[in-house]
Amino acid sequence: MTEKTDIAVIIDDVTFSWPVSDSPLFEKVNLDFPSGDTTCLIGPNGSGKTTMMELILGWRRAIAGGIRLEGRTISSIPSRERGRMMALVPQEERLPFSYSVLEYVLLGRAPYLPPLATPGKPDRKLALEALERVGIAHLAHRAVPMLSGGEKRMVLITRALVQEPRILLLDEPANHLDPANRERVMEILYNLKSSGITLIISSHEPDMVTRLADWVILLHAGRKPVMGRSNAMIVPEKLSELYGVKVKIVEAEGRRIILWGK
Amino acid sequence: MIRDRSRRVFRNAGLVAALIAVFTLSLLWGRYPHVGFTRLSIFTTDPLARALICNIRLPRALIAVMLGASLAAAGTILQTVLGNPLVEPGLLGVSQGAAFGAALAILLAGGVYWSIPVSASVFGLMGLALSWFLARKIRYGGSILRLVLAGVVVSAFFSSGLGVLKYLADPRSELPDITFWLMGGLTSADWPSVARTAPPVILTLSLIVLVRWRINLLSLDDRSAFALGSHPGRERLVLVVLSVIAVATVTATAGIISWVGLLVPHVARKLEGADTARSLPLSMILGAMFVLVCDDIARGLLTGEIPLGLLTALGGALLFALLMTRKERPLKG
Repeated sequence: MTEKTDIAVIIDDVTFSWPVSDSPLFEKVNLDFPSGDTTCLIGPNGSGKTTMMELILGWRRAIAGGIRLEGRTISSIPSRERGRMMALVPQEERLPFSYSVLEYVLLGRAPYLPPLATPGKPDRKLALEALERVGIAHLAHRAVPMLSGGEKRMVLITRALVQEPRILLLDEPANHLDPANRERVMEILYNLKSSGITLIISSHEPDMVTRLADWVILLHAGRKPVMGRSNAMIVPEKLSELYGVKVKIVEAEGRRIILWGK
Repeated sequence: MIRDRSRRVFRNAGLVAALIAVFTLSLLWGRYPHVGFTRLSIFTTDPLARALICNIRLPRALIAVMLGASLAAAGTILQTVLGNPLVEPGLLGVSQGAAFGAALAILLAGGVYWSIPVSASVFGLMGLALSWFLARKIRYGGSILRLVLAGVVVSAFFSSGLGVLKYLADPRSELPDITFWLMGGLTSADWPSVARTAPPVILTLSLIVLVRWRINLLSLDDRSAFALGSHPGRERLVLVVLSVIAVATVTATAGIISWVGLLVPHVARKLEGADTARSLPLSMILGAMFVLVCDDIARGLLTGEIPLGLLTALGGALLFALLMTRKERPLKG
């Protein structure tokens, strides 16, 4: 399926089903995520994008089959080592207390610290550098709950970067963001992509995918996922079949733009 | 940043010094030889005062410090790991379980001095175990909501059991004992109770202080904590059990002392921010000082003893109202 031999994540014959559901969400699914490439999972609501992310993360267990990270079965990797290999940027996060942005971002150092340690000077330096890199250093001492939706998303991305992962999972990274913030997230993701990190992004916005993805996985609820090169997957026939609406793709200023509906 | 750090070190040293000062003043405060503070020189001139300070006030102040620190630490931990700023140790069925256990001991083995602390600890832990077990069986909501709901159910169960015991108790002898224990107080504090309380409290609080930064991870969604290399379920269980051991141990000696576990963590977070690496030790120091001062008032204000639980509830409620109506201060690094 892939042209590289170096595979970051292998989904091997995985079957997953919700306890309340009669039919499985995924049945004997096989997918390879090439190392250093960007793979996007796209599909309508309820097609299992987030669940697929959670399976890769190891947070959910498959009923059958297994997931391997860099050749190792995920359940055999100690939790702190797993935290150093892979990070997650969730869509949003419950936050009952007023952490400052710096305190919150420092939590990303947890996989590197022994259980009894607190973050030291090098950790703070790394966190401040990451804040600088994402362009939110000026927010370092602000309270996270007081930030706007866009700023919170940047903070979540920064915390994942402080984890220094080789594999980064992003769940709908541009969801609910205004155009300016969306562009900032895109820019950060571009930079990450060129740094050689393996990106796995779930999105139901194919526009974002056309600009970032090397590989695309189409997720249909109840059907086998289909994986292919981005150019081969982001085509009108496949998208209109996936979403059940008419799709047209036009090119303007070197970019492919998707037009939905009639 | 460096200036911030040195200011923090300075402030922490100041707080420890303040705790030592309050502790020392508590030893000199009382109603003998006269109402108010006595001079240090009384140690050499009045053997009765010396005995009073060494055998009554000193163990009592030590228990007060352990009580305040344990309740505040447990409050900080439970609020953080259950992601709910309104949680206190009473929420998981621990306090009501301990109260039921103490009342049962008064009724069944009234004369045996160790029966109350042992029974209170056993039933306090049983309250937690029942809450935990029930939470696993509830088929509704996330893990935290389930645990809180189970805690409410178990607390109600022990409350009604306590009601039955009070109904059955002899209104002339046992009922006043039960009622006084439920209001909480340090009248029974002596060196043997220090020896009973100190080892588990020092052990659990030391472990809690050592993992103080990692506690932060558990305030996040379980999935996020997991992605950061934590085992949220396992780590939460360990922390809750450590807190409950500390609380059950001090409750066994002091009875039900409310509001400390709810109020003090809030004050500490207002002063130091949410990061448990800083707010937890501060919370413990403030909790110890708050209980020490309340106990000084409890034993010194009137000729008779005022139940400590009444004072912590009164002082706590007033402070809490004041705190909640004050403007939020901007965060510092």
